[in-house]
Amino acid sequence: MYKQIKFKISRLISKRFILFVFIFSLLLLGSLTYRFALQNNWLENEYNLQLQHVQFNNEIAELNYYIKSAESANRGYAFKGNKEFVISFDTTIDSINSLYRHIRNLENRKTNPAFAPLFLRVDSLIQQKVAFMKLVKSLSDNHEYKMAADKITTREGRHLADTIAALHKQISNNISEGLKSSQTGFLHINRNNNNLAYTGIGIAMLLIILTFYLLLIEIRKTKKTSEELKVRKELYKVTINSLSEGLILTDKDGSIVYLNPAAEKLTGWSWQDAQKQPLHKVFNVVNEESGKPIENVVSRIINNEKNVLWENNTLLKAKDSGTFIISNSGTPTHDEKGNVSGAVLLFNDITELKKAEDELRLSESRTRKIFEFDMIGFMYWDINGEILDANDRFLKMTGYSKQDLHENKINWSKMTPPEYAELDRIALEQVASTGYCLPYDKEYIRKDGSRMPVLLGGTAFDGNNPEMGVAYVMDISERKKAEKNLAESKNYLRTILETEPECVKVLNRKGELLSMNPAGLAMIEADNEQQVLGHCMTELVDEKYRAGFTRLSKEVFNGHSGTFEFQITGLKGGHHWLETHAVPLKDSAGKITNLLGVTRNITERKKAEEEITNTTEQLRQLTAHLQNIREEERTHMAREIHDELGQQLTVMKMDVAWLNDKVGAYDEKIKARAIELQKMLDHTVVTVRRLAYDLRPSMLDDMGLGAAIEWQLNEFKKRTGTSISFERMNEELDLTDDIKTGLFRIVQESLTNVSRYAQAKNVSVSLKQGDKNLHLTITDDGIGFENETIANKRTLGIIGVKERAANMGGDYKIVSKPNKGTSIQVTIPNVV
Amino acid sequence: MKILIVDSSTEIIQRLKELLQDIDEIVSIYSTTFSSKAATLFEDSKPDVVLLDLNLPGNQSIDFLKLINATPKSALVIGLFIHLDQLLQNQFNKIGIDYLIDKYDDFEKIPGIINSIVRSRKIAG
Repeated sequence: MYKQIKFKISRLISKRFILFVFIFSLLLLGSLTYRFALQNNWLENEYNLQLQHVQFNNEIAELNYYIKSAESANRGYAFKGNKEFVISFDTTIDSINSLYRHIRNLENRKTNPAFAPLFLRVDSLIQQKVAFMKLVKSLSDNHEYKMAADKITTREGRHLADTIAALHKQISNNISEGLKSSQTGFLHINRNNNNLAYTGIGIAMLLIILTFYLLLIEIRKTKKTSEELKVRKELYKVTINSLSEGLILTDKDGSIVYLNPAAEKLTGWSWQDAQKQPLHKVFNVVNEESGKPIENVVSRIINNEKNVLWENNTLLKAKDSGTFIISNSGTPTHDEKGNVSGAVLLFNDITELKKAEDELRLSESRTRKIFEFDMIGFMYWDINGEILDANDRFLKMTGYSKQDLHENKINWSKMTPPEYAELDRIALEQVASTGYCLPYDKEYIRKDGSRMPVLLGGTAFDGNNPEMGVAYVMDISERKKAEKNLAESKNYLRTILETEPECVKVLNRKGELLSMNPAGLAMIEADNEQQVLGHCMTELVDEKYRAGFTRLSKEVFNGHSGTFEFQITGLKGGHHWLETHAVPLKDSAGKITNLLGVTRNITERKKAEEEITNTTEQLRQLTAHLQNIREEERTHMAREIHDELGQQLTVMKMDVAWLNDKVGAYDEKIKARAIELQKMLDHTVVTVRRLAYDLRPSMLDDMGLGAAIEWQLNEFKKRTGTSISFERMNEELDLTDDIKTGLFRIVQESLTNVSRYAQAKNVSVSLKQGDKNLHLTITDDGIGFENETIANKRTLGIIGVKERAANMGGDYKIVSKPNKGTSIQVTIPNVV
Repeated sequence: MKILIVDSSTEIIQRLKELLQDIDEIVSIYSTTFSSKAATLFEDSKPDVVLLDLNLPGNQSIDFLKLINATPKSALVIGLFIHLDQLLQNQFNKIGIDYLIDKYDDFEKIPGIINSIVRSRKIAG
């Protein structure tokens, strides 16, 4: 500090002193120069003045000469009358006038006020003298020579010439005195100037020498400082560039001034590109955990003017989108006045360090967790039986406390029942030879004296020193219990299988028998399991069913289950119907290993089913036969009623009409009775017609199925008011009576159902041909029903439809949904 | 004018004959209850008008009607029926029948129809 202050003061003094000396020297030289300039100016003026005086004196002298010449000529002219003097006089007068004008000009300069009265006097005298000489000349010109000569010789004439001469003399004297005075002044000034010049030059030289000396010293200092700075700068540069940390130098506005190579590498910015860029653009940092941008460390440095310490939770986003976890610190920089001029930011990539720290922490955590894992007991043992440390689980298992552990009350050797001492000895030998021992079952005696089955394994701390190590101890009480339960379960299962009346078997992928219970052995007529173990069970399956049996087996090994009915021929030649349900058997990894089949003997059921099928078919045939008979009877009855009864009634009506015609005019009573009889006949005829059509519409036979359905639909519409539509083929098909009757009755049955249950507003019937098949569809828009519901109801109407379709060799389908109507679809194949 | 009556009921045939007996222009009335004989009788007698029962069993009525229509100089046919559905009536009309009479309800119209035929024949000359 002291040195710094001294240095500053010395720098301040030396610089100001040199400046002062330099300025003083300049002022001194300036004042001297000014002084010389004033003196020279005075000398120049004085010289010019004296020069004018001399010139003036000479001109006066010359004027005086001309005046005398003029006077002489005037005089000669006046006294002698000689005209030649006139010429000389005029010439002389011209010269006088010329000089006179010149002198007046000199006078006008007013160079010296002291000569002004003299000039005025001379001026006046010259004018008087010239005027006087011109007067004399004019007298001479008038030949008054005498008067002219008198004039010249008068006092006036002489006085003017004398006065001018006296004035000339006085002026000459004055000028002479002035010259003398000027000479004295010149000498004095010259002396002073010389003194001043020598003094000034001397002082100036001294000051200049002093200045140069001081400058020389300053230059040497500056040069030395500059060299030192250069060396330091180079040193700093090398140091900064060799830093593994990134260094950023900013100005006080936070703009980048410098980046070292490490900073260039970390930020992805070159120094040239980063220069003058705002710091946050180059040094893009976010909080490592939150990912949010954080206040720039340099901003904090500059704003708080304080150093910022290392911060380890900062994530730097490099220009090339790479990221680094960095720690950073910074310090403000100051100018000469001590103001903050910027900041220096130091940061380094701690990604790997952090990763290593995390891994180390994780590793420690894992180790700690393993040790503290509450499922497995851990203990540090030595060969003498001491337990050096143990986790809570071990203590909990054995019933000991931490205090027992610290007081060395736990000894694994003493906890071991004697019958397991040999196992422990073998385990220790294993540790000694290999460094670890394989896990083995043993028991420990708890603190309370009870025994605890455990699984124990261990390893030595150091392979060279197998006398200490770590052991893990698992309480296997539950496992032991489970093993016991498993054994019991196996026994239970074996009992079930042996008493199970159905065959339970296990086959491998090849269909080879792996196991079979006694019931199964009986089914295939085997005397014992050994007789069939390893044999392929497919061989027992009758040829007709082998493909199906093999397919089921493949399905099972593809992960599906299935049921299959088949016949086998037993080992002793017996034929049996079997039904097997097969499922995949999986190992613990979920891989399908075998097939488990549960098979029952369904021979009796098959026989019963066959009988039922036969009976059903017979019933169906009987039903069809009865329907045909009924239809034939109805046809016959309808025909008889319509034709025979109708004809007879017609004859009766003709006769009644005849009677009415013949009798009416004679007996009113007979006529009335005849009319009543006729009405009864009409009513009977209507009834007969309805009966006949109800029994069987003749139209079905006369016009065909399409016409009969159309008639039936029209009757249905008349009776129920339901809207109908019928889509039919243009031509009637040549159908057998059975088909025509069957389909017509289906339409009738369906319409009956619609009127009873459907609450439909519209019914549409379609009779179409498709290839060789005939399709009949009856659709309504009624309330509908669930298909499952109708399957359970088994209504007679629908059963009738189904049976009629079956009798015709056709298919029947009913489609319905609640509130979506019902559609009955019947397809009769190969009728067209 | 010759009339041929084909009907399954002899009683009906009898009543029809009685009904037509008062028409002077009818010179002879042939009749049969069997459609198998009707064709022969038709060819032999060459009737001017045929009274045909349309309710003969099976398709006998239609077949006989087709036979009449196939004859070059065909007779006028008056179809007689007991309740014939409109569809059947349309079919008979389509095959070619001149008059359709419900013999229960409208048998009394038959003489009038015959008379009108007689008149039209006379006019035709």
